[in-house]
Amino acid sequence: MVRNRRWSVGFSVLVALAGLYAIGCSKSPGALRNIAFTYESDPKSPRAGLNTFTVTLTRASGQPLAGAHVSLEADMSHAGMAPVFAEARELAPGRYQGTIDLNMRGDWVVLFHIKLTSGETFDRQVELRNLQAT
Amino acid sequence: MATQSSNPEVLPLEAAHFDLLRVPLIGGFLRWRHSRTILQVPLFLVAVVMILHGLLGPTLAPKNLASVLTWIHFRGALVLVLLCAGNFFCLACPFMLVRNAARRLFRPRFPWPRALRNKWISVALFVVILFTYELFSLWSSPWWTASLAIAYFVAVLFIDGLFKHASFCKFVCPIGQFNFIASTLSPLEVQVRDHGVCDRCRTKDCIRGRRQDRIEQAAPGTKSHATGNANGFVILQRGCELALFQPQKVGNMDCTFCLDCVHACPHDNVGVRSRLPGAELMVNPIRSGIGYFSRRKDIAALALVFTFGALVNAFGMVSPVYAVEAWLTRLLSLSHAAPVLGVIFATFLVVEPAILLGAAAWLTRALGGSTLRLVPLAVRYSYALVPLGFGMWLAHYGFHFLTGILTIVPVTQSALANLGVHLFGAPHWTWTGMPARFVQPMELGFLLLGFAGSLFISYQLAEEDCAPQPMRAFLPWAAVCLLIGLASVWLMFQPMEMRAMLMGG
Ligand code: SF4
Ligand code: SF4
Repeated sequence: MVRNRRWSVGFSVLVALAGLYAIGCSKSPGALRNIAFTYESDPKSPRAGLNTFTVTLTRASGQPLAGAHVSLEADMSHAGMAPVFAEARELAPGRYQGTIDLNMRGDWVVLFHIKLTSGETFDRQVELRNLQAT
Repeated sequence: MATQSSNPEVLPLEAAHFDLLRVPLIGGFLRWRHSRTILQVPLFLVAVVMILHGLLGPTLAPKNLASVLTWIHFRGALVLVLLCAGNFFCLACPFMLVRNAARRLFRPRFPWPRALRNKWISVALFVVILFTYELFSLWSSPWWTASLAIAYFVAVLFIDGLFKHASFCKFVCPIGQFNFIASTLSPLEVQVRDHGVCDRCRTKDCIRGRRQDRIEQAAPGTKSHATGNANGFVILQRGCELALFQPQKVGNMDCTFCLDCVHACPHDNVGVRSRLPGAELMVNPIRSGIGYFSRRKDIAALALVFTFGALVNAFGMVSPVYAVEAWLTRLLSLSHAAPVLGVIFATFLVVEPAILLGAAAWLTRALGGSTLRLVPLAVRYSYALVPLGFGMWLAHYGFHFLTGILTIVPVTQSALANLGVHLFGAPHWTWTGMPARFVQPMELGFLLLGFAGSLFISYQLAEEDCAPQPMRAFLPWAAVCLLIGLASVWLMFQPMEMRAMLMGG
């Protein structure tokens, strides 16, 4: 009886862990298919300090995605640092530009939070390694 | 030693020491036999939340409770509590809560193998953790951080499920070894109040545990929390699982502050008392459960990994590491991070200590006339370097803790918001902590404190080893301390890089 209880406790813990890993690994980053995302930065190699990112959004057909709301968020790879945020404005249909202050040397992750006119949202993530001051 | 003195000028031993267990409320709480569980439960719940958020929450480290709590708050609070009080993390260790619960189902049957009753496994694991921390950028991965915590729970259950007593704590746990060696510099120690009482004590319950015959136990009113034993008695309160016999215990090495000895002692003769931090590193008596420090190469290796590991760990966060990695990659024509990191670790943790300690030991013999051979000399003085290492850990972890202490607020807000609970509006992402310019003087203070401590202990050891000319024996070790101290200061004032991956890979 006690032996059975032991094994059922052990088994339940294993199943719970396997379930957690299964859910964790199946998470999708919330990106929409059929949308092309490209970006350019100024300066070309991002550096610590102000950086301007220009984002182009098009459908798979090549049609620009106008009227979207694009915001930028940059986080360092290490916990304990504050993220920085910026808004992008639409330069031309499907082209958005925002300037963000990457205020420390090191590795950054820039997130582009995109909301389409249809209300759909998705994120795109760009990793910038070893940013140096100029 | 008497607890009272007829001479009013002389303080009775009791009054000479601060004793945490005599402090109203705190002392009463700690003496309560369920206090450890009460402290462990919240930490266990935090660990569960961390694991869930690490596996299921955001993948960015600064936004995940697993990485923020582990790499900012836990590490920082740990070293500061060790500096200001003692090994209270082991007291509240959530892994032991799970182990104790599991031991109600699975009774361990085997004694820990005799050949493994040393620190070599835990020293190797300590190095492995430092290595994987760099290789897999543990600080930047909530998933890896949560997996590490799960691996820890599994390892505790496996080891302590099979082996008796606190085998995991004493012989395996790398966090425990970090705490043990750092707590040699803590101001509090679990120690006997009056050795005279121990001399007269017949039961020695602090080590044997408080026992009761089975027949007595069967009597009405017997407490149900007792654990059975094949020898015909039940243990009402276990004694020290770490094999530290209070009257012969010296210092904090191997002590988890579990307070089992406090609860077991029938004479209320164990306290949590003040002492001179680091004093136990200056002396070499036989220690219960440990033996002589001077004969324990494994504990000396732990002291060295603790000290030089502090430098490697900080080196991994500063700008010049990129240049060194790039140079090594070109020099050795390597394309993967692991061998490059292996070379860096071997240099810092093996070659550098061997050269520095070997040269200093040789000079101590040549100049100071010490009769000890090179290896025993190096073993003996390894302990003197512990304050330098602790200073570096304090400076490094203290920096992240103090500059990032408030980040827990927005990360918790964000985690709750994802569950539909909006606490105090939108997450306050601008909340971080103290500005770096205020923290840097504190870092320098920690480093200087460590440097002074290492110099002091080295001199004490030199005085004992080479009484006729201690200064000549001391100078080589002072030079080693100076080199490590300068390297630490140089590292701390490098521009910090919040890096994600070695070699961009
Ligand atoms: S600490 Fe208590 S139980 Fe242990 S020997 Fe001393 S008096 Fe006895
Ligand atoms: S029982 Fe052992 S490990 Fe626990 S506090 Fe006492 S001496 Fe330390």
